Amino acid sequence: MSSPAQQWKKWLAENGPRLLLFARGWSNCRQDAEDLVQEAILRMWHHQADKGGEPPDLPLVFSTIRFCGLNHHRSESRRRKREESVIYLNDFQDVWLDPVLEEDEEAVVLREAVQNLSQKLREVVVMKFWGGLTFLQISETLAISPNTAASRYRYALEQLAHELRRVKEDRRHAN
Amino acid sequence: MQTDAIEAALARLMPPALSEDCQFEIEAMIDELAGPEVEEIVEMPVRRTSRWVIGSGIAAAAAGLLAIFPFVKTTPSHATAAVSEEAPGLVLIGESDRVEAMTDEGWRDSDGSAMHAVRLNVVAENSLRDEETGITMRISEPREELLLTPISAF
Repeated sequence: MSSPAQQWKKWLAENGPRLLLFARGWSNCRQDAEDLVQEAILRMWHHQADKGGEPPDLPLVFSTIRFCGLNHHRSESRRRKREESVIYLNDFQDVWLDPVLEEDEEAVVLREAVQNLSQKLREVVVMKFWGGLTFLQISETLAISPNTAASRYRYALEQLAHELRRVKEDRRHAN
Repeated sequence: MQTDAIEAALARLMPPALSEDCQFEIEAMIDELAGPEVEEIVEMPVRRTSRWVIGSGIAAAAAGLLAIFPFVKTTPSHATAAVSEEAPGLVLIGESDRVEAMTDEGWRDSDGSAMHAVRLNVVAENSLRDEETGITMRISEPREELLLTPISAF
């Protein structure tokens, strides 16, 4: 039987990327997002200590990242960091998602479209698609109804589809 | 474009992994939070020792009676497990027993005999060395004792 530390590390290896992606929505650069993930894991460790020390369920971690993100946004230091992080926003390497295949232009367009979604829509897409959560779990995480979660997901996909069509048409006209 | 088509397109994107630095930091934090791994928990034998408690400042009437065997009632302690010589790899390198506080509780009747009661807060400390790692540790065991001294003269 593996030790708690080993269980948590395995859990981190499996879920780290999806937590980082979700945290990106609550931070201005990759470094801040990683700090958020670390803070959430620390909180989760103490939270889970009373429950046998097992790694937590993903919906709870998403909620905690959201909570930590909100706290950071409220603080004065966060505002200062936000101003400093403009340099990271302009860094083309600082992306939220990576295309599975190289030179997949459509995927790159879609990536930008996901990043440009409103926060409400984006976090539902991230939790549903890359987090693998059900609409019920998403609704519990965001304190909304499952129907609202499903509606936001559908609406987000429509927006992404619209954006893809628009970019394709623009390119066709340019050619 | 249909929903399925967009989902298929989204599947061509994947979240990047945590940076190596971040992964390392979090794993180090987990190790720190988890503490050292205990491979085997050795049940240590419980040692009970009778203690002679020398109290200063006890009333003069009772002082002369201290030469006689005192009756010491020891309240149960939560941490009475102590390390004996049989504990593997652990060597007892120091032992102390100190009185931290003492309260005079006056006269008491015990089985028809008059007793002078003094409540003591005692801390027993054992210093142990792990022969394998060289780490020295100190185990403190606070306890409360009621010292009853028979009164035969007033």
